[in-house]
Amino acid sequence: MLGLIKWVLYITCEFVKYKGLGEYFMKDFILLKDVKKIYKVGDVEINALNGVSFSINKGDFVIIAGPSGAGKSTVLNILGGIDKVTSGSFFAEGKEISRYGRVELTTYRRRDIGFVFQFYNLVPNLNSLENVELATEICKDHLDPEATLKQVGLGDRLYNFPSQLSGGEQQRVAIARALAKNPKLLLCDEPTGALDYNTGKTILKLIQDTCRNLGMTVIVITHNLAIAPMGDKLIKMKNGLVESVIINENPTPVERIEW
Amino acid sequence: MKKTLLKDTFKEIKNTLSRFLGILLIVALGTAFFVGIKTTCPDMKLTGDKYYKNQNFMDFRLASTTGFTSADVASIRNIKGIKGVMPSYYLDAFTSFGTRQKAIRVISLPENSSNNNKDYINRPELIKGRLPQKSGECVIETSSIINLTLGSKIKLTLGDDSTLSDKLIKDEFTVVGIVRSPLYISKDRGTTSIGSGQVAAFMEIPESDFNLKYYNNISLTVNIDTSIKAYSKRYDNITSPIMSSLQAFADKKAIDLNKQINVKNQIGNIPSVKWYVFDRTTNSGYVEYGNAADRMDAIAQVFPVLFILVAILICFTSMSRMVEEQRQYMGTLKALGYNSLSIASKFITYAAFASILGGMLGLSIGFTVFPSILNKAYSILYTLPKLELIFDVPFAIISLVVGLLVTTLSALLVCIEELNSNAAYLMRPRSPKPGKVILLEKIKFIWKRLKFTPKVTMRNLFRYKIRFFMTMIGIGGCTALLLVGFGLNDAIRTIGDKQFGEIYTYQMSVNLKDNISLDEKNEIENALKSQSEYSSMENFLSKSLDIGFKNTEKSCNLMVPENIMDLVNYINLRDRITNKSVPLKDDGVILLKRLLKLLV
Repeated sequence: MLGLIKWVLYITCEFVKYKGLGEYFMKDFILLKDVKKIYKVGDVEINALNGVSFSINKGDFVIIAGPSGAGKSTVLNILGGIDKVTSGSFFAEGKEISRYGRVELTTYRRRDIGFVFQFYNLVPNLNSLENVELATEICKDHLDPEATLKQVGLGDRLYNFPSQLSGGEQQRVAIARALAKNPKLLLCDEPTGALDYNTGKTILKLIQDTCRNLGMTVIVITHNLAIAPMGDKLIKMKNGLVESVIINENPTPVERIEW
Repeated sequence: MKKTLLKDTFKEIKNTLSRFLGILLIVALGTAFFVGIKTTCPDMKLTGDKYYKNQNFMDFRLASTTGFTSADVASIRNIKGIKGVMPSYYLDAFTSFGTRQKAIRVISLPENSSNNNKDYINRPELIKGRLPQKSGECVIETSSIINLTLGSKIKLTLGDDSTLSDKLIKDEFTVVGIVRSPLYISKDRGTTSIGSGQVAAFMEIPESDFNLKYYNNISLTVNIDTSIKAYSKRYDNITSPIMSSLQAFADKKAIDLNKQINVKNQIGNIPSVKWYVFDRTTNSGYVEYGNAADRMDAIAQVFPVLFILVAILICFTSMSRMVEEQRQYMGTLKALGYNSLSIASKFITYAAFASILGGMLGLSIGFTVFPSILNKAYSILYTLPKLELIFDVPFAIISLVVGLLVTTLSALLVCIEELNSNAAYLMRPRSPKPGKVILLEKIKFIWKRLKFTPKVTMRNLFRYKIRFFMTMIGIGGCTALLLVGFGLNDAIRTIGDKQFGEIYTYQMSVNLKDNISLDEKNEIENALKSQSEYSSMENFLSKSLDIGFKNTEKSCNLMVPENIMDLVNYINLRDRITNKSVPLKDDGVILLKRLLKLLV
C-alpha cells in the first residue's frame, strides 16, 4: 500500500515537471539556471555565457550592467526567445522556455515579449503607426496602437516615416511598438545607447513610468552603471558570469539621477 | 499575409523599382520568347490549314504521260474516300514585259466556280477584281515580277515554232482580277520546258478557252473531317490509305491503257502510258511552309531554356542581394513574433508580383508581336493571308507557372538560410566569411612572388564560391552567345567562299538561246576569246526538268558538260565530308546531296 502511494506521488511529480506545471511550485517569474552559451565562428568557439543563474520577480524593473563582451545582450536574447541556450535551463512563469522548439518560441515571442533595440530596428517603409501595427496585428490582447503612440508622446507623429523622425522619436516608436503588444516581459537592449543625455533620460523615464503603471516586468541592459539606482534589481555581469545581484529596496526615479 | 506586411512589401517594390523591373523584364522577355517562338509554329500551320480549307486545296493530284479523258475522270470518282475531282488544263507560254520575256503557267478554271461546288479545287483567292466570266478574261497572281493592273492585256506566245491557237482559243487576255493560289504559296513556281526553265508567274483562264484534247491534270480532294489540320499526323493517317488505293488504281489503269494501245498499234514506238499520283508533299510551297513552321518549333526547343537560365540567374542575384540587405528587418520581424513563412512571404510576394506582371507582359508580346514579326519575315517567302493568332490557354498558364516557380523558388532559396537563423544572429551584422588557406599557398615559390592584391583576389575566389560560380556562369553564357554569333557569321560566310571559290571555280557564264545557229555561237565564242581576261571556256547543256523518285517529284537543273574531263576545271564536285573529288563518268549521273535529300 505504501509502495503504491509512493509510486503515485512519483508519477504525479514527474507529470508536473513534464507538463511545465512548475509555475505552481515556483515563485520566480524568470529563472535562469547555469545557462551557458557558446558561439561557433568557423572552427573557433567563443564562450559568451559561462553558467549564468539569476531570478527575477514579476513586476521588477531590472538593470543588467557590465562592460562590453560581458554577455548582457546574449542573456537578453535568450530571455527574449531570439537565441537558444547551449546548456542550462531558462524558465519563464514556470515554463521551461529553453526546451521550446521553433513554433513554440515564435508564439512565446509573439505573446510574452516586447523588445526595444539599441538601434530601434524600425521598418523604414512604414510610418510610426504602421510600425506599431506591424507588431500588434499578430497579437491577441494588444493595446490600441494609436493610443500607445499618444502615450509615448508621438500623437502628432503618427504618419511620419522613421527617416522623418529624430533618434529619440524613433526610439519612442520602438517603445510604443514593444508596449502595444502588451507583453509580460519588456526587454530593452541599451535603449539610450544611441541617444544624447537628455533624450536618453526621457526615454528611460518613459520606460520606467509606463512599466510602473502597467505592472510590466522590465529588463534594461546598460553599460552605464550610473542608472543602476533606478532599478529594483541590479545584475552585474562580467566575462559571461553574474558578478553580483543587488536588490534595491528604494529605486530612485530617473529624473533625480545624474551621470 | 497581414495587412501591414503587405503594405511594406508594396512600399519595397516602389522603393526598389529598378530591381523589381529587372526581374519583371527578364521574366517578360523569357516568357515572350518562349511563348512567341513556341506558338509561331502552330500559328503558321493553322494559317496554312485555314487557307487550304478556304481555297479547297487538293489532297492529291494525278498526272499522266498521255493526259486524261472524261471517262478517266469519271472512273476516279468511284474510288472510296474521294470527295471532289477537278480535271484541268495547263500550259506554259511566253509573255513579254517591256524587253523581257517571261514564262507564264496558264491554268484552267472550271466553268462552275461557285463556292458549293465540291469539284472546284485549288480555288484562287481574289485580292482585287473578279474571276473571269467570259472568254478572253484572266486572273493573274500578285507578283513583283509581273506588275499588272486590272484591265491591262496579256499577250501569250509559244516560242518560235508551234502556234498557240492549237492549244488556246485566244492569245490575248484581259486581266480582270488579281489572285493568289494555294498551289503557289512559296516563291517557287516550278520549272518549264520553255525559256530559262523557270516559271515566273501563273494566270488562270476559263476552261473553255483551252483547245486541248486531253486534260493534263486531275486534282482531288478527300472526305476529311474539318477538325483535322493540315501537316498533322491525323491528316497523314487519313490520306495515306487513299494514296495507296489511288496508286493501285493508277497502276491498273496504265496497264489497261497500254494493252489498248498495243492492240491498236501492232508496230510502232508509242511511249507506254504511265499515271502518277502525287500528294500534297509534292507541292513545294506546302512542304516548305510546313518545314519553316517546324524549324521554328525546333528553335523553340532550345532557345527558351537559355532565357529561363538567365531569368533564374538574375532573379537569384537580385533576390539574394535583397535578402542580404534585409537581414536586420528579418531579425526584427522574428523578434516581434512573426513566423518564418510570414517573413519569407515578403520576398515571395515580391518575386511573384514581378513574375506575374512580367509573365503577362511577356504573354501579350509573345502571343502577338513575336509570331507576327516572324511571319512578316516569312512573308517574303510565302504568299499567305494574315497570320492566325492562337491564344493557347494551357500553354499560357504553363509559362506563367514556370515563371512564377522560377522566381519564387529562387526567392525562397536565398532566404532559407536567414529564416533558419536566430533573430539575434540576424540582427548582428553578418560576420565575415572565414578566409581559408588555398591550394596555391602551398606552392610556396608562386605564392611568395604574388603581390597583395592577387593574393586577396585568389583567396576571395574560393571564399565566395556562389559569387564565383555566378560570375563564371554569367561570363560563360555571354561568351557562348558571342561565339554562336561569330560561329553563325563564319559559317554563313564560308558557304559563299566554298561554293564560289572551291566548287564553282569558273568566273562567268553566258546563256545562249535554245535554237542558236553554229555561226552565231562561234561569233559569240570569238568575241569572248578576244577579251584580255579570257583564259578558257567549256560548253554545257543546261536544262530544267522534274525528277522523280517513288512518289516524290522535284524540280531540278540538269547540266551536261561537252567534255567530261574538263568539268573539274569549272565545277569541282566533291564529297561533302571527305572533300574527295567525285568524277563524272560517261555512264552515270551525279546527284547533289541537297536534291537527294529532297527526293528520299
